[in-house]
Amino acid sequence: MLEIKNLHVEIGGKEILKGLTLSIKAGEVHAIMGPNGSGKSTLSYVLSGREGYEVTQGDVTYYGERLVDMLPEDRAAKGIFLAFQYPLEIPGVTTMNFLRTAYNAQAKARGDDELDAASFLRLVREKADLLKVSSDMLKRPLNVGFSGGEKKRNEILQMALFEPKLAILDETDSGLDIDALKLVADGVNALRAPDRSMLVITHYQRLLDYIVPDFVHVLAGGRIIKSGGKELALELERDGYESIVSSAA
Amino acid sequence: MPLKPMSVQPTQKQTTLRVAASQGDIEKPYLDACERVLAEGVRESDWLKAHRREGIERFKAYGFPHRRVEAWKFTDLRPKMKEQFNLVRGQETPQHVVVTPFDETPSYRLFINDGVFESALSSVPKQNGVEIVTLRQSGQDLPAWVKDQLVSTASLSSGPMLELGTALMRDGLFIYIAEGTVLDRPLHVIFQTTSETAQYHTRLSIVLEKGVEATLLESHVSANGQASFHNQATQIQLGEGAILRHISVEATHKENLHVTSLNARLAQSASYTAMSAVSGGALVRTEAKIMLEGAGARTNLSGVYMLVETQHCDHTIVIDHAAPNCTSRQVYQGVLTESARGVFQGKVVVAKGAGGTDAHQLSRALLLSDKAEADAKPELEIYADDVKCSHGATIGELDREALFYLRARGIPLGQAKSLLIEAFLDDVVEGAADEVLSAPIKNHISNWLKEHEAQIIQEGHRP
Repeated sequence: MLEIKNLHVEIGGKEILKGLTLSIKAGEVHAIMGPNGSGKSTLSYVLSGREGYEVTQGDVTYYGERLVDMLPEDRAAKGIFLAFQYPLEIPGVTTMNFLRTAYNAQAKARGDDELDAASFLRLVREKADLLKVSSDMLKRPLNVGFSGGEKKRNEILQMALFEPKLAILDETDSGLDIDALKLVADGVNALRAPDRSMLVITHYQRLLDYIVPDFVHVLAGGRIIKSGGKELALELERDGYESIVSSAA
Repeated sequence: MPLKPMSVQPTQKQTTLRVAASQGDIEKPYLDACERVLAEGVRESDWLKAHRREGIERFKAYGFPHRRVEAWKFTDLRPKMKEQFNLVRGQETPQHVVVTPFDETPSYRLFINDGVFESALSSVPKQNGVEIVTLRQSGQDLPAWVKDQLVSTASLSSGPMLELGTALMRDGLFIYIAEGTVLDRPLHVIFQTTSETAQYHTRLSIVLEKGVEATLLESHVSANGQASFHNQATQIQLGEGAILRHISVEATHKENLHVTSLNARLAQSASYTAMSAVSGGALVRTEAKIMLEGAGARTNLSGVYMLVETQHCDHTIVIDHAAPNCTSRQVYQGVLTESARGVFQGKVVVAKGAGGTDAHQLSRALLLSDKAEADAKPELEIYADDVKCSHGATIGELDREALFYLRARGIPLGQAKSLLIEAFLDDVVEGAADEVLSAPIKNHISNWLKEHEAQIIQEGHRP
């Protein structure tokens, strides 16, 4: 479903990704691990369509469609979802209003029926309970005054609502204590499905104890330098990035 | 949302320059019109004729405002005055009544067409303690309180536009509410422009006696697409403990010129809350002077503006803290795109002896295009001790990170921008009015955003 071939990406003239190749099939969970500055977040942003990232070489196709020139809102409507490392605080827009606006915008783009306020509320309540997102949170302005855990739970709630085909989780474990991490991981695991792929980006192996990947890739210097099964994560945790980066070089 | 802060230096002691007698070609047609109005001797008392004459003479001395006049520093009216606006003479009930944002709000409608009160389109409250007088109906024999209002307007709001209005006003609406009177609904004054390329000069005056509480809604709408010129003077007088909520919407055609001189006098513990929404007009300017004359008086002024093309909106405000323990708030926020321009000049003067003053002013503008411009000039002039005064001004653009977040959730660019703009503007509206009164304004903002989505999107199409 996702094919990344020899991807080179620049930000402000500086090359961050230098020939990244990765293939993800439907239903697979891939983890990308790597040291700081290796290009992990760049990959998540270039896949979701943030401006300022220039693809200078290579290509990304998603279900056979070229992704690079697609608007971020179109990618979302086609099922690409990025769980942000730092979800934005948006004063003046209530969480509920935001969720419904986004849900209906995606439905409209796909030609599906939009939901009225009452039907949408029922849908949200059902999903929110699992993630312990309170109705008070839904009434508050989007992410404003939310704790780190609340913000991440809100991200996963959106993933549950939008039911993406490709979910990119960017450092979803950052800023979470162990209880919050379990809650978020349970939410993610509940969404694993044969037609839903996931790209889990993380610095630490800890998250992968809870969200167990099918494949693990090590990203360093803008390229994938090693790939393997879930045991590769444990190897990294034990030996550190240094040994793998130097042995691959 | 985070905005880039802009540092603004408060300036001390601004002196007002008056540009004397530059009676040029621009003023001449207006002065000729003044003389015609006077000579034709419409049914008016000698007192009113003499009052008009004083206006003419003072307008002659002023001439149209020049940008060298501090209060007009950012707004150049003179070129606009070169247009030949017809002084509408006859009175015809309009064929078409334009919708206003407050049509769903239960109210007493006071309809003014081309500057003239239309009783057939109005529903005047008929109850003891409420007096409503129009200049046209009572011009031969004005009640003493109306004369008092005209005189105090002339002395408190004096300036070229006010004086020109005194000379040329077609009609005026004077409202008096006696102590102990309770109005069951807001008053809604509707100013509709119907005649093409017209100029009209109006008066609106409201007096609330001790303890009276009232709501004044004001709508400005156009029934045609022609440029016209509305020169308005509003006089507000609040007795001890009186409360006035004043909510206005300027939604006239984008060719329109609308200049308002507003003066409000507040006695002890009186409260004046004013909220304006400006989306219409080519040039819309309100020059307000709020005089906190009694101890503990409070004023809360706020406004939102939404401007496209070359629209120009100017709020120039002076708040006079003349008595101790008064509170004033000014919050003006706007969104500008294409080549629009927004101006905020807010001045707070704290007199000697006005201890315990609490004054705050804030101006925030969102620029959606490189050519849009916002000017903010807050000023403080403090002659008392023990005061709390602050001001802030920010001029920035929509938060790109927030926009990306919304788009990454499937919300298209135009809708994402609208959502952020709406949040920015609604914040002001919610702070100024309860739900019943804020809802029509929020609807107005929301409709404006839908109608102008293409202009809001402008740039930023790249993924």
